[in-house]
Amino acid sequence: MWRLVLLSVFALPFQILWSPVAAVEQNGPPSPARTSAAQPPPFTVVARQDNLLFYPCGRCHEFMPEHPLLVAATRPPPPHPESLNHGGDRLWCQTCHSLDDADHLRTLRGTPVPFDRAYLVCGQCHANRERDWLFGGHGKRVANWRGTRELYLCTNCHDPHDPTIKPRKPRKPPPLRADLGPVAATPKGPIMIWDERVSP
Amino acid sequence: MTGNREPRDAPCPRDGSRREFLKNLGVGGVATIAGTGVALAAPNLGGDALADAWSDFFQDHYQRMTPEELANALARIERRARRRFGVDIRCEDTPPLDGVVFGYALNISKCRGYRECVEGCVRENNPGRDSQVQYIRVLEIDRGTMNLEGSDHYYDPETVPRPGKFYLPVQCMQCDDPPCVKSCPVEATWKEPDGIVVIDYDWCIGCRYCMAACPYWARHFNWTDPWIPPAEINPVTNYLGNRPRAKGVTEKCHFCTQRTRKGRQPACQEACPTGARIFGNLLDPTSEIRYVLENKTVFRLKEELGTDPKFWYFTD
Repeated sequence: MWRLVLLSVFALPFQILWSPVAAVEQNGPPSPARTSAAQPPPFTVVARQDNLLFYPCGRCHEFMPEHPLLVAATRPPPPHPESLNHGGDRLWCQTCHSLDDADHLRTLRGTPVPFDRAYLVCGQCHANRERDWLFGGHGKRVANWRGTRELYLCTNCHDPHDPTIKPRKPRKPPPLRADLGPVAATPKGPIMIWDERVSP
Repeated sequence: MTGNREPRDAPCPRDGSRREFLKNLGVGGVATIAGTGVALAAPNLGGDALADAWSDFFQDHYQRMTPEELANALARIERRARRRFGVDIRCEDTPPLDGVVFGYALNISKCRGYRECVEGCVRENNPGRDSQVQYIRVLEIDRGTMNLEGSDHYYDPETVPRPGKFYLPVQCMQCDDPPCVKSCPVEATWKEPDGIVVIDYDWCIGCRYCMAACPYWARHFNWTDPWIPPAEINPVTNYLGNRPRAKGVTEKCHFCTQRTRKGRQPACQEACPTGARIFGNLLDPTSEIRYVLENKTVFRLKEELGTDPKFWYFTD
């Protein structure tokens, strides 16, 4: 009897390792515990929805049931953006917005998404960016480097209707030390005072 | 090169004979010894200014000060700022955090040369506004090259980024094997446990050896008395960080010790409008900086010099 007990005790780890459940788990989709290293750290976002000037959009849109074909043919009046400079000619209003539920964005499958989770909509095309953003390689973390992780949303920095960051005037260059002019940069390096003396 | 410096009003002090010089030296020495006795007996004679000057002279190295001496030194710094700028500042000694080594990563495909980081740094760190001290230099470099010699940091076009250029902000790399520390003859600069290379501005003798040793042009010298408009002084300061400095000492980026050691982001990261700057703890495997180092193509500036910088550049 004691031999049987001893055998079962020794065999227990092997039973667990080779059990059908373990085999299914190895072949099936990875369990959350195994991929924990690839899970993005928890985060909150800088809420933006309440700052939208005309939100909730449904306040107007519930009284303005528009025909989808009419919307496609005409340019929507203000407060809507004048133009859509995003995605070439591939996108139009209802790629991301829904006429049925104007208070939410929509995914390509039609799932409503709150404005404060806009990254779910952006990430459908920009999946690499979204992954970087979730893990901290893209975008910007607010205020602290440890503790609660608060992130700026995609739409805090990019205008979704014209997402490219525009060129602008830089801040003023560093001041010059007294008596010195700016050192002229050339492809071969800066022109130093001894170069000026040597050259005729 | 234009020479527009105004002539000095005061005559050159080296006019007298050697005899006069020695005489003055003797008189001064006697006066000093007499003053020592007076000051030791009554340190408050002449108000705080005299007592502070006396204590400043005998202030020890930061790492050798007792907590009491350090507290006195911090109080003196606050009083000095009040006398000089008329502003009440708070100077602290924030210790490094356990289990933290700071690292920085900068995305050069995001940086667009706006110089907002420079502006944020100047606002935060109290450098002299007239002394050309800026911890960050944004280099404008031709695309497809890495020609630092041919770079320009005085660029000032109407709009940036200019076509055919990319922008490379350079600041103190907080090297793990810092040549500036090795070159300092008085050990006024050293690497802290959290990886930040700091300076005891009161111990610096202004020899500028560290500036010669640094391959990144990260250290800057206060040639003039650094003046800050009182309204622009950041009152939250740190002994090894952004407290007001004196003429004749070296200073450099210290990863905003007054902020980062309390868990905040450095000022340049906060100011960057493009999100090009990633800051964090290198020892935390879930930190943003670790994600960048493990998943992006990173490089370090002048890595071949073996200074082991803790500042990485990367591209998307």
